[in-house]
Amino acid sequence: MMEALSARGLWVSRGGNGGAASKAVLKNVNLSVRRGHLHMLLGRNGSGKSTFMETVAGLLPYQNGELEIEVSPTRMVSQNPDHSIILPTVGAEVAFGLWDQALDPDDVRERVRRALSQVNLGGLSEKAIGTLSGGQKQRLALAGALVESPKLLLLDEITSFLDAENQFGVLRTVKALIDGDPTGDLSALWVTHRSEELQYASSASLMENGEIVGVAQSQAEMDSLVRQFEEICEGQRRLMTP
Amino acid sequence: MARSGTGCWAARSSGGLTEALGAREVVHRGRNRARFRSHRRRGDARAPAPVHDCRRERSRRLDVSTSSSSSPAPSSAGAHKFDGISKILNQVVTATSIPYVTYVPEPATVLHRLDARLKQVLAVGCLVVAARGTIETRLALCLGIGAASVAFLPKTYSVKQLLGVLKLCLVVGFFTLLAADAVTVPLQQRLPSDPALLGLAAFEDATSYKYTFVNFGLIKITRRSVNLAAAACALQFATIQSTVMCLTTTSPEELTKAYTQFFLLPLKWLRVANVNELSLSVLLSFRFLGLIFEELQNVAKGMLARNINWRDLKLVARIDIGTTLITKAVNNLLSISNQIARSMMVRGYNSKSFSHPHLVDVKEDGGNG
Repeated sequence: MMEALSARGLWVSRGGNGGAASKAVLKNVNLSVRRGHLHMLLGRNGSGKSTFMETVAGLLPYQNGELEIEVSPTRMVSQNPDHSIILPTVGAEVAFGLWDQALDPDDVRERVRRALSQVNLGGLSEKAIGTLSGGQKQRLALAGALVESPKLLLLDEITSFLDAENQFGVLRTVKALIDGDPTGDLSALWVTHRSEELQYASSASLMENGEIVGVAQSQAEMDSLVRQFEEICEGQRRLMTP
Repeated sequence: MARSGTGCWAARSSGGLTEALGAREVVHRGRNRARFRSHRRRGDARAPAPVHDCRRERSRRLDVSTSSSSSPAPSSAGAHKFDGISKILNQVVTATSIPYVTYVPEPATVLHRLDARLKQVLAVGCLVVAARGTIETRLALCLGIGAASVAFLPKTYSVKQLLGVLKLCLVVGFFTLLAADAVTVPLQQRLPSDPALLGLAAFEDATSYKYTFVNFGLIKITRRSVNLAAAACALQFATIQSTVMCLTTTSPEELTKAYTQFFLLPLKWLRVANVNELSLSVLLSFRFLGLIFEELQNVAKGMLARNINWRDLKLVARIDIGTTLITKAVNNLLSISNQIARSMMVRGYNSKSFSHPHLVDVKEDGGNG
């Protein structure tokens, strides 16, 4: 099986306690992420991307369809790093995810050191979270996920709060991690509303109103997907303009 | 921005957001008031017709745009009072969390190398001495803590922070001094039942002992109030400053380790509590210290960014604004707590079996950060 994640005909509703008043947020979503790929899910704000991500992470139930995650473990990093970071210092934060693994203290230290150096935060294990910049916090959240050696990363608009330099810095880090994974199994689903990030994607999907409306399987197809996204945005702008 | 006058100094000294948003109006109003006052002082019916002053015109426009009412210009003292609110908010916005809640690993000092357990014992010792000691002991303790702060903590933040704590303690001490014996307790007069004992000559004290130092009716300073004020000052200073010294020179992990793996060890032996859970709770509370500080800053930013004209607001409206923003801050904190709880779930946290022996013991070997 070459796929890390596949969703077929996925329906998710929110609100109304699942009754008639609930609203379908995801409608018949079909999406697959191949192993070793950085798959980007592009869409406007409110199009259902984060709901899809939370469903994949197991935080939301789905009403219909199939969701198969072929690799394990899976780790999610959310939009706002302050919401992902649990503990007060860098080292403890990265080590948190190892709590259920029977490891020697030396192993824990080594894995923390490796995860931090993977995201270019080596030597900062004693730093307090409050002293880190936004970009560093987002890298730290990523290190917290990486320390558990995940096979699928769910990255929910993790560059939203970053400036251009940090945005592409984090993006390059993730791309390098996937390309440099010795097993070739590490995959990532990257949710974004910034079309310029697609230049780093292996494949991409476009979501609008809870549906997948376009797919690009390679870089060659990205341009048409970006154009489709821009047309959707332009159409929305025209609707909003009196 | 004006380039001369006292208003300019006020704007410059407040700096930051106030300068950008609110101080400009204060500067112009200040100058206009000074002008009107000078005409009135002369009692001058022949005061010259106001010269067209573009700066004054501009100030009027600013007044109209920021003030909802046509209230008369407030007194200078009133204006200063409300400048003070902005100034305090500005200080909160521009403050860093370093002197209060954050561990500062570098530069490493003697206190950094001291065992965390010993530091906790010393901190508790300071509190006991401050609570139970004499005035002289308390004074010596406060001087000792202050001197240790200046000697061992980096001057870049220790001096400013120390002065802040000192000011706070002095304010508390001052009010305790005034209030401790201000209200006399009504006592029933008890006269001897034997009429022969009445009418004795008044007892004259030949010593210099005085229980009451100052008595101006409501303001009454006695030995008791001095003692109470000293205790309040010392206790507050010792509590804040010893905690700050512990927090800035010990990593949260070391503090947690000392607390849960040494002081709470009997609980583990007696199986009264899950010490692993407690260590996680303590670490989470350290994380929240920083978050609370950030949320307070957000509230202060919100108040400054709205450019609230405090002078035109009644007390109820001021309280309303304050409570609205504080409610927002508390809601934000609850929302962040919720998100962090979700994040813990995503990372596989399961409270029933949580055990992380190494959580408080993670340090990179040879780290240079």
